[in-house]
Amino acid sequence: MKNDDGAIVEARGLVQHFAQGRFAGRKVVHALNGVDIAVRKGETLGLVGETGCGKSTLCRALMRLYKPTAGQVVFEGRDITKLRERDLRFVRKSMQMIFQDPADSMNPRLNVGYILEEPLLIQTDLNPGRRRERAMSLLADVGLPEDSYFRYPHEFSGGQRQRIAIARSLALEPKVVVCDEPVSALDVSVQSQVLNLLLELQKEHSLTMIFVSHALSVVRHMSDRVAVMYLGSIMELADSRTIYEGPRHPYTQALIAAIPKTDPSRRAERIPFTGEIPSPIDLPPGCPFHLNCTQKIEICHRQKPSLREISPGHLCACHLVD
Amino acid sequence: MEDRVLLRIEGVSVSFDTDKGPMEVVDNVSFAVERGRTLALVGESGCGKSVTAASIMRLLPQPYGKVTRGRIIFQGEDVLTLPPEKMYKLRGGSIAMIFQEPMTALNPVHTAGAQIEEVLGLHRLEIAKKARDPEVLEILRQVEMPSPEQRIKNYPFQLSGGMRQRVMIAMALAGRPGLLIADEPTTALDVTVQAQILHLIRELQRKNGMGVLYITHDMGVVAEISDEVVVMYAGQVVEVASVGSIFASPVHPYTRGLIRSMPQLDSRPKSVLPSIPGQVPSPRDYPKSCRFANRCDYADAHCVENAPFLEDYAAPGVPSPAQPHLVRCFKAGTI
Repeated sequence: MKNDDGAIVEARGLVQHFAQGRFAGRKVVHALNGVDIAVRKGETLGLVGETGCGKSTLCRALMRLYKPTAGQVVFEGRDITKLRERDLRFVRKSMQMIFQDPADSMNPRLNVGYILEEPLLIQTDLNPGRRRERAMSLLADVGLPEDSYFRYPHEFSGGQRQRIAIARSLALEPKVVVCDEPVSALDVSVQSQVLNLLLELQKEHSLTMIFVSHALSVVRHMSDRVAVMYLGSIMELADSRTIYEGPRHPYTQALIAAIPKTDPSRRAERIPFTGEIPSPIDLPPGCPFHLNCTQKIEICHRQKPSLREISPGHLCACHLVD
Repeated sequence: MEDRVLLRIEGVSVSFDTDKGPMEVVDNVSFAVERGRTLALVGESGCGKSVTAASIMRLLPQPYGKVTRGRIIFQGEDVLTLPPEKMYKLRGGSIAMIFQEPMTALNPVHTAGAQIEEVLGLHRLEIAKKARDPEVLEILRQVEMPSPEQRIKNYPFQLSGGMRQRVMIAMALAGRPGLLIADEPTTALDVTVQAQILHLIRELQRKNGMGVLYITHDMGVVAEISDEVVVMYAGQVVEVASVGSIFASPVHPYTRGLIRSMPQLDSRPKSVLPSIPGQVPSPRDYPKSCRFANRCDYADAHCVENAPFLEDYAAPGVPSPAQPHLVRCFKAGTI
């Protein structure tokens, strides 16, 4: 189980199904269908794709918040697929998460001091004085005043609350921080403040980040590499410039073409691609994208293409691309 | 020129009664929407853009919200003085509105078809009851709904986000509106679906010549869809210009900040993004001076003490343009 390409957390052939309904009405949601991905130490891996493509499920599966249906999750070279909750404590400490809506991810009855100290209380044996010191230094790290310690989440604006959530995620000095739509709920002028803070903290603490967002230009800005997902599979993976400037997969091309251009004179009268995404309950046979693909050939109906390296560091799952 | 104007908002102020007295959330806003054109109303949450739109439809929360000053002229009539019966005809008829989250705007216990048909029953009395079903189908085809015969029988929960937004647009079109007010209709959608919906709105506008008032906080969407742009900050209009001028030569420091703080597709990944420091003040704390002064890089003592007016700004060296470029800033032209 050795890996020498610098991966810190890895999915190998990861399959994640969820049961929906009971008895005769029982259905299976195929959330992840054989995902292979390695997150390298110190990088930011961006995940993009449309609602329901499995980006959030992949994040949670990598943190071992689910029991995988098949495949493996490997953290720092160790197979953690089958570990019991008790044995997962070191993973919980090393991987932290920041959610979209900071108001929903904090207990409104607890003051900020307690919110920041709770992880320390559970995972460390620091004494109360030390915990408080740590909370204060976290507040300073994210640019909040010291008196925030005694205040409650509702007293803060959205951007400030997201700073508190970031401070909490750093409390245990994690190795990996998973950011699931961290700025989607924020106003434009505050968004860039929070993005800058994340970039700065990543450098300072040499964090590995997984960055999920449906805002494609934000992902491009934040990520070293970007993976494009569709219907529970990875369609293309490359460094962020390549994905945005030279996408090879027809789905990635459609996705990139849909990004609004900020230059009204370049407003293209293009016809956007029109398909609806198939349901993850009845997966189409063959390539997951073939129903909406304008370039499909016969084999796409029958056989799911595998994710292959088409040039150094550029992976693509498409029959048309070699 | 004047008859091209469909909607004219003149010096509208809106205030809400609170237990601490009245709070003015929109201050002296003016703009005009022309037939067949799209005006984008841009700003962050709390800037008053949605309240301005609600006041056009006279849908301010009652009894707290009221228009305290100004006129809203739609097709030559002041909407604010219309009797209730005429307002019923206007809402959903001549002026239609689509919202951000179609799941909350649609009725969960009626089918998509029934909700579109209801609009026909209210605003298109010339259509016989029996002819309504085919008309609903026709409208769903216009909004490019996939397999419309099926969707007509579906309830909102059975539809995807993009399809729900298409049902909303179908309901809006059913009344044959002259003006469509779109309040962030694509914010909750994926970029691919967003591109489809923006394309659809443009196409429909080209065909039936309606005016569109498009409310958004996303400058990317503004660049895609609008002809004119009105930027609001803290309840006031701070800049008005054509979409070309707004992006090519934004003048107000806030507009510049909004455009620059968006990650660009040609910026250097992981570089520091320009950002606007601080946060939007609450309506209770709007200063008497320039409302942006405390976040502005260029503000000086004069800005902190005096309130600038919205004035025509002629760029140096540029022959006066066909359309005025209005800016509310003391420093316009010097920064």
